[in-house]
Amino acid sequence: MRVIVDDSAFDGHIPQPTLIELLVFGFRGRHRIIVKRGPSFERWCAQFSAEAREPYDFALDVGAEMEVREPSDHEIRIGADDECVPIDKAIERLARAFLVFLENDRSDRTFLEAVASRPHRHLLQRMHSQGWLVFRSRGGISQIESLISDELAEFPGDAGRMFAVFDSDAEAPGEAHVTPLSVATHCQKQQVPYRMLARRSIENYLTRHALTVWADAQASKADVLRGRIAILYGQWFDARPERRNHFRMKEGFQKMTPAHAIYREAPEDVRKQLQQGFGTQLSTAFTSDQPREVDLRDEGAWDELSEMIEALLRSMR
Amino acid sequence: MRILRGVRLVDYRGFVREVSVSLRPLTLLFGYNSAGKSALLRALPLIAESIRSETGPLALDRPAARGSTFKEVRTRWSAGDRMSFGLDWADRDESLNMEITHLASTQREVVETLRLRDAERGELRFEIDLADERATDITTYTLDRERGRIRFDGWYPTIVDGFTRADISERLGATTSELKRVADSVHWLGAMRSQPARALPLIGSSTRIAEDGAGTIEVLARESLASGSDVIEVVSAWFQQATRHVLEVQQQAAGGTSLFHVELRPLRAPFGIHLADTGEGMTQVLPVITLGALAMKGRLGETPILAIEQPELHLHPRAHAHVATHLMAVARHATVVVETHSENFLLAVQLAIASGDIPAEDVILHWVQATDEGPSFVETITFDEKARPSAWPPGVFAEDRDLSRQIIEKRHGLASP
Repeated sequence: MRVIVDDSAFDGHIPQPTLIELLVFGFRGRHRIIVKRGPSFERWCAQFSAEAREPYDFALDVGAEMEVREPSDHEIRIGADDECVPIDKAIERLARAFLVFLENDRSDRTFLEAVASRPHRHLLQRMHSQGWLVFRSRGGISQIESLISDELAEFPGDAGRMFAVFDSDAEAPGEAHVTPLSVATHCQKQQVPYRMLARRSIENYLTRHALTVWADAQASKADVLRGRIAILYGQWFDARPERRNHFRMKEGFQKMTPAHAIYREAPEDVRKQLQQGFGTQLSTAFTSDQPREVDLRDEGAWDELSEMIEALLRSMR
Repeated sequence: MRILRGVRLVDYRGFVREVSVSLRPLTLLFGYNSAGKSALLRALPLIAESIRSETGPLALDRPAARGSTFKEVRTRWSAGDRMSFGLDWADRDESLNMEITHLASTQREVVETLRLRDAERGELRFEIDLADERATDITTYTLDRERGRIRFDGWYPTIVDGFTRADISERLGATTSELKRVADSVHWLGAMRSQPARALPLIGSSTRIAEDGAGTIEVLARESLASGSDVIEVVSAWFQQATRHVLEVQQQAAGGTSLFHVELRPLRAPFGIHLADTGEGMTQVLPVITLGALAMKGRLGETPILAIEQPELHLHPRAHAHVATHLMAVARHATVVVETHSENFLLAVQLAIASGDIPAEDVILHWVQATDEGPSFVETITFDEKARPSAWPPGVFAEDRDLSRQIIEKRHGLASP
């Protein structure tokens, strides 16, 4: 958040500890504090020795520097005019964690971190460890709407502090399921930024290499799983990669619409081998070093995923 | 005036498959060490040298290849024995693709495919017939169903026989002219500029500055002798602004010949200091400023392309912004491609964009990054009119503020969260 502080905020009517609390957000690099410098601010500064002022000077320098290359899309103003937010309210707002709404806290969060580039992953992890970023879920896509509604009921007008990521459950490109579509509509209505995955679900972003690494670790099932991977990356799926992108990875053909156009002509051996999919444990295939960036690029997922992560990080600024 | 607007490289150095580098008047290459910035920048002189090569279609014997073999220039992230170079021009949506193959049997490189495309005239694709790959003179190519022989001198194609259609010979002739323009337009300055000699005579008539900066003093000496030249004025003005020194070309007689050297005089000092005795940054930056001044004054032709590695090398960070300002002025007359690590350079460019001194669309930044798995990729960043980048890799240039924060925390006993 970019916080524009008017010179009048330093004229003495705001208690010193409150102003310092505000500047600490800048010092930590969490928000960008930009002061419109004037006589009140100069007088306020003059009461400190050069050494004592050091953290406050730094807090302001760092805000300007961050804004140069990573400008925030969100801004609040603190000062005397009507558009300004009272400083107590502003500090409350600035202290609240950024919320990412997911279907499943554990696997979806691992997915987000796994598909982020290394610097993006470090940033997500650092923000999470400092409590500035919180992942929130209630165990299912249908709960995302209520999570958003509840948060906005408590903090009206605070949609800019939120982001939602969810599967499309689409059996074919552009055919998102009714539930994710409803969540998307809700996000739009509430002005919460979101990304609905273009592929069916997070498991459809597992690369061939990541699937193989996971299959190799499945002891007695490894051979069977490797056989299924070979089919998934075989001729029939390669002919139209959208088949792979929208295949029901965990449950397989048994839970898919048999007559859907893009699967109708699946050869018998393909259908038979992948009847059961890869099982519910497949989401554990996302780890910090899988899938690899080079494979995500190679298999055509990188542009969508990097745009999603950048949009998320941009929202958090 | 035809301007090169992009270079495409397939299976080149540390990159996988195709890497595309759009060129704008000011093109910046940023990235961590060993990510592939220099390799990308040197693709320009490698292409220029390959175009006019006398030893095959890939100038492995020239400085831009740095002594590499074909296998070392080709990516190691995929198997194969071919790589290709593509050039894109802005007008008529025109492009050229040169696919080069290494023949293991004869240990040499040949042009496997030449593809010419433009929006008006469509595509021509010449493909080699490798039926007799041991032959010393493989020149048979097919185009659609036609066969003929083409000899390539470097990248210049000449029809030996066949291909009788007038439009084919006309397109190949035009391609030769265009390639010659590209070869002549590229001026490369590498990262390691050599020390100037203490005194140099003027021999020959070359006006080119070599990749190690050699030739700079001679160029300045010639400009000092030319009537009406203001190149030295531009160079000296830069030194005055950035370093508070005046640049002067000194000429002295020595046994019937004239020897030249450059001196830098502190603004109010009565005498100058020989360039070789000044700071390293001064000698390193002189070829950069001079090359830019030559481009500004039209000495490098209509559409020069300056490929410059670390123009700010050995300069104090305060001077980096001055280098940026100079190269932005040069970018009005040339395509300037810069590889740099300098934050101040970038800040100066952003300030110029935000001030309206350079249009945002004239600047492009390619962030070159190596993945943990090894291959490198390029992310392209543009700026809006307020100099806001379209994206920024997290943590880049944040290192100093993180260290500063830690110092202040230690100094004031503030606990890190």
